[in-house]
Amino acid sequence: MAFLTISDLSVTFGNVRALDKVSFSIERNEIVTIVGANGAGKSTLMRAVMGLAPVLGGTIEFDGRSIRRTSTHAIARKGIALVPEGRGPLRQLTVRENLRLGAFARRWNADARRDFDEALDRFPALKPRLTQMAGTLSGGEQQMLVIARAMMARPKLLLLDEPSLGLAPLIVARVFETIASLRAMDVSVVIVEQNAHAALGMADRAYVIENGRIVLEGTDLLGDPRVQEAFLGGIVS
Amino acid sequence: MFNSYTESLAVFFGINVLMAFSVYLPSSAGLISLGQGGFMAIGAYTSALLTAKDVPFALALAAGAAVAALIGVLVAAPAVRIRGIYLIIATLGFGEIVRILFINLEFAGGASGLSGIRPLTTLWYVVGVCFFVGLCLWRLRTLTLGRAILAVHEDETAAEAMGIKLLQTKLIAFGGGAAIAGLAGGLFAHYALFIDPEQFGFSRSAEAFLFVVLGGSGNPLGPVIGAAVVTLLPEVLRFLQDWRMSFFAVLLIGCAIWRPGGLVAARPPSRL
Repeated sequence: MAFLTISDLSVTFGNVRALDKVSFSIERNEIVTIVGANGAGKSTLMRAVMGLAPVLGGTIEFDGRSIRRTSTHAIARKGIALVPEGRGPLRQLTVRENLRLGAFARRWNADARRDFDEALDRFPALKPRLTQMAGTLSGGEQQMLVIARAMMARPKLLLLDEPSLGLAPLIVARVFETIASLRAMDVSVVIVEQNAHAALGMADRAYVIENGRIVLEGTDLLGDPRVQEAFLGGIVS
Repeated sequence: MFNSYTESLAVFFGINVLMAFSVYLPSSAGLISLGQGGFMAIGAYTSALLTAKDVPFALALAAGAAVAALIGVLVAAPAVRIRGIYLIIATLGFGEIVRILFINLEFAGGASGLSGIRPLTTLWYVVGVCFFVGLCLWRLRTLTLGRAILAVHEDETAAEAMGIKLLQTKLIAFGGGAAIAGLAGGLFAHYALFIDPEQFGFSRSAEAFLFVVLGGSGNPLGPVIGAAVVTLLPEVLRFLQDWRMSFFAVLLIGCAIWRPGGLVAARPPSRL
């Protein structure tokens, strides 16, 4: 049994079927990428795991227990952290307050303080900005802050929804470097991306989602001709 | 040290500050209430009925606040699930229900009101309660709960995904606001010495709401400034005689145009 197992998951919004019998799994400490076009159902899959989407059928099991009917805040407390797409941090709160809120479900003890210091070491750009409103950070810094905030919860599974959205290429590279560095932290990571090249490059395994269905799964999708055709402009890397 | 005119002005200003705080706290969680007059009535009647039975004043005030908070939570539990304009309408309706309820409560004097309340509210009592509540609100942000309230206001989905219980956080904010209005009601009753349901009607609720809109909802200083302007300016403008309220209205419109975020826009410093 994998760490997170989703089987035959269907989600509908009114008459629109956003996910159609999707099955997906991730192991402990694995990095998995889900690529797909706009509207393919990537974000819906993440939201469904987090209890934020109307699930019609199927099962979601985390660490051997069903979480399909668990409420969102309880799922967060079980060790799943979601970085929602393009939302950024809580803009009216300072960088420090954002990080503290990341640890909301934890006791603020020596352990949490150590994580706080480690987060600042991992994201040194945030250090001089602790008392600044998060809304005044640059796009790249905001994305770093959101990832750092999610890690403050010490999640066992981190869901990243389009971490590269709206960022300059140079910053995207930095964001992905950071995500790769999370490998050392005993966390499984699911990355949903349109920026297929960078995301596939760092993943252990990947899925391709199209019109709410998983159409492809593998460990080396970067070399797959179908993926190159559809997402990488046919350029052989 | 004060003549009775200045003293009564100061007392009513303090009570208005509390009413402003009672709108401010739920509004930091994104909950807009136009029914705080109802909670003020509950606090006023509860404490007045208790002091009539020789219950100590402080205890009666606390009881008024507690009953208001309890009813606030009961009202809010279904109401906070709805948002924005619908919540405003629901709270507005609540305020009216409370007013009509007290009109029909015989033991509370009904429409003719409750008189002979003991004069227990002193200026220093009001100042003390104002400072205490203000300090709590000012420090709120340094607590996990305070930051959770702000997070819920800004992004419910993100807040929930961080493990924050939405409903519980909103109920605390709304119940806290109701408790503060209840305190204000208790202080008001024991200074005015006569209360009737009409004193806590829609205009009272709207006024409390105005304090926060005018002063700004970014930090607790905004509501204080808003209450100060609305309470004291009409007094200062007395020389304008009949044009007093018209001038006041023009001033409010001016604020809406030039300071849409309120007179005080900054947020409090956050030291952790």
